[in-house]
Amino acid sequence: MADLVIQSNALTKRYGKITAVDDLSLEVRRGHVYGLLGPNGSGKTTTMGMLLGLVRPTSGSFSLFGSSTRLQEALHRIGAIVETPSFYPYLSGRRNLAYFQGVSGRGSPRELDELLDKVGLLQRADSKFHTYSLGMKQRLGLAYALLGDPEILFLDEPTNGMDPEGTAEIREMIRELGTGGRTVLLSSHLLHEVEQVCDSVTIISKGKLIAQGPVAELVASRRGEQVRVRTTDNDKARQILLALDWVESVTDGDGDLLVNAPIERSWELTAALSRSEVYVTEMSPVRVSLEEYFLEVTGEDRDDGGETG
Amino acid sequence: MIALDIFRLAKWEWFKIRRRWMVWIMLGILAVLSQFGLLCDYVQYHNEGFRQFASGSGGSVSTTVTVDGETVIVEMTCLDILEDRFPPEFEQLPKAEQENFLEDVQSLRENACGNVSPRDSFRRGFTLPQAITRGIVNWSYPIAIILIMILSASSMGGEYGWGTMRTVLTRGVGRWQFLASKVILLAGIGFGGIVITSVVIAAACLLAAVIPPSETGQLADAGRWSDAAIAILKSAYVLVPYIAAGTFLAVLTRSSAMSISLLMGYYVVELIVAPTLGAVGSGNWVGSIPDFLLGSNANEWMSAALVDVEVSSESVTDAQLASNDRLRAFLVLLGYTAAFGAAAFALFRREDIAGAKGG
Repeated sequence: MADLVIQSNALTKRYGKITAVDDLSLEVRRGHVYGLLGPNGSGKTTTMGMLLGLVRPTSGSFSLFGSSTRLQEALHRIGAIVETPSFYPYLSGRRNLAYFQGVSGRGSPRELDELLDKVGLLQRADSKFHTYSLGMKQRLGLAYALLGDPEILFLDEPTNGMDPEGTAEIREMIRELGTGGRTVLLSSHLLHEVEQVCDSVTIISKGKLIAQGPVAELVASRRGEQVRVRTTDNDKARQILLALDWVESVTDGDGDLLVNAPIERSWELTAALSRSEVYVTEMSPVRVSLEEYFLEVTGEDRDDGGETG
Repeated sequence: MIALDIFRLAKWEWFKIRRRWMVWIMLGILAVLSQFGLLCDYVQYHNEGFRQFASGSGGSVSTTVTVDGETVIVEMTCLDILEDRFPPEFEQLPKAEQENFLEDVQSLRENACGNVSPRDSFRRGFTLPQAITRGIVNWSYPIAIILIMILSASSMGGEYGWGTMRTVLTRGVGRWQFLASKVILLAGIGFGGIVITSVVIAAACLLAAVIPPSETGQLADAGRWSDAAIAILKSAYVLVPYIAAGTFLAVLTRSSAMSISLLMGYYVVELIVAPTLGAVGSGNWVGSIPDFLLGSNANEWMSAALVDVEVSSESVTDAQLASNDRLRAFLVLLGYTAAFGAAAFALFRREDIAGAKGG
């Protein structure tokens, strides 16, 4: 397909007996913000490393911008920051960017100031990298990834170590970057970040692909299984609903009843209740968040409610 | 196109490396320590006491005679003999005593004074152009070897330690081009360091010539400028296998600290082991092991530069043997360069690049 910019086929990486990435087949289309979601150690960074030519796959193959493009040429059209941004500690932010611009042989000195301004680092551009906070390092990493106006951006945990204001700013920037034909592959273990920013997501766990598709579609695939109902008499309502053979279960939920039943049969619930003179005061489908979806498909335990792994 | 790529990468490597204090501190150390030989020669030339302390007098001959009721003592050291400095008391000796004393002098000259350098040889140590040749062969190149090993290992190992290797390679920089640009730049820095050291030696020589007591007389053999140029080129060549070794070990260990430790360890161990093997295994294969060690061949290659200058009366057979040794040293150094270089390239081409790991 012409608009597939990243495609991997049964990509596998083993380190001795440990399989970091197992038979992973990815498809990333042009012009999306694409999330690579998984717990720590699930193989996200290894996958990115393989796609960027840093890690040799044990088996499998991949192509960037179509199979005919050589990796080194393809990398000239890609901007990437993998894990913690790594720069020369004795050089300033500006000189670090100038060096990386120079070795790639693309871009102009004016671009450096524009990028430093864009990521909010212009004021500290001439300070040595080793004096930067983690948040500033992340900003420089983003500026580095944007050098040469790349067609694909690989961003690995780009908001790691940033304050809430900076995090919101960077997320907004990532969303903007994903428009106008540019593709962003965002690796994160922050579920709400991926949900906020990404159009599509690939969930990997223990190196294996668990689910892949647009965020809205994945979440919708689990929506409608549960309906939240509040009635004039919840005790009586429970008995009536449990008598219906297509209702799987009814549980109490903070003054409501959580009814496991297909959403398209909600009207039948209200009809059955009203026939017994129990009236519905509130009814809504239970929205499944990406987090709940993730926990369900990966079998992970719920921890702090926002992070995986 | 590939050559242009490597040149561009080397240019940007220089942009980066010239901002490291380490490079300039090392260059300073090289330039300063390389003056040590010159300074020693200068002091020994102008101070006989120091010359005797540092080089020894080589022994002496003396005679005591009573002439007209007065005791006359005549004494000459090897230094006096080599410089034909007869004491004034010599003239007071009777003719027969003078002849006896001259026989003793001749005997001492033949038997003991061969190891003592005449005063003028110290003057050559701070007279151009031989001062450059001597400075490089006796002082600069061993120091340069140690410093270039540290710089090579640090240049490559630092990329692993800081995690910048990954940042560079994701810009689409070819692996072997990156490695080649580093090696080429390091060789350039090594050569530049030797040239700068030579310039500093030359400046020190000019200074020594104008500081009183300055010597106005012409020195019989002050060497040739071509010999100095050859010594500079030879020392640049001798650095290359050490750059290759430093780069290889940094790629292998992915650590500056570990690769520097291994290099320095090998350097010191070879300094101890090579002479021992040569002595213990004299006449058998054990004794020939040093012929294939890196440091031994570096010494052979560089000492040849000084032999060319100082020994002009080699017999045809000796010259042929020395020439064979130099050829062997050249080939062994080339072999080490090729082996370490190829291993570094092969390993670096295949290895997975991880993030920052420190050290």
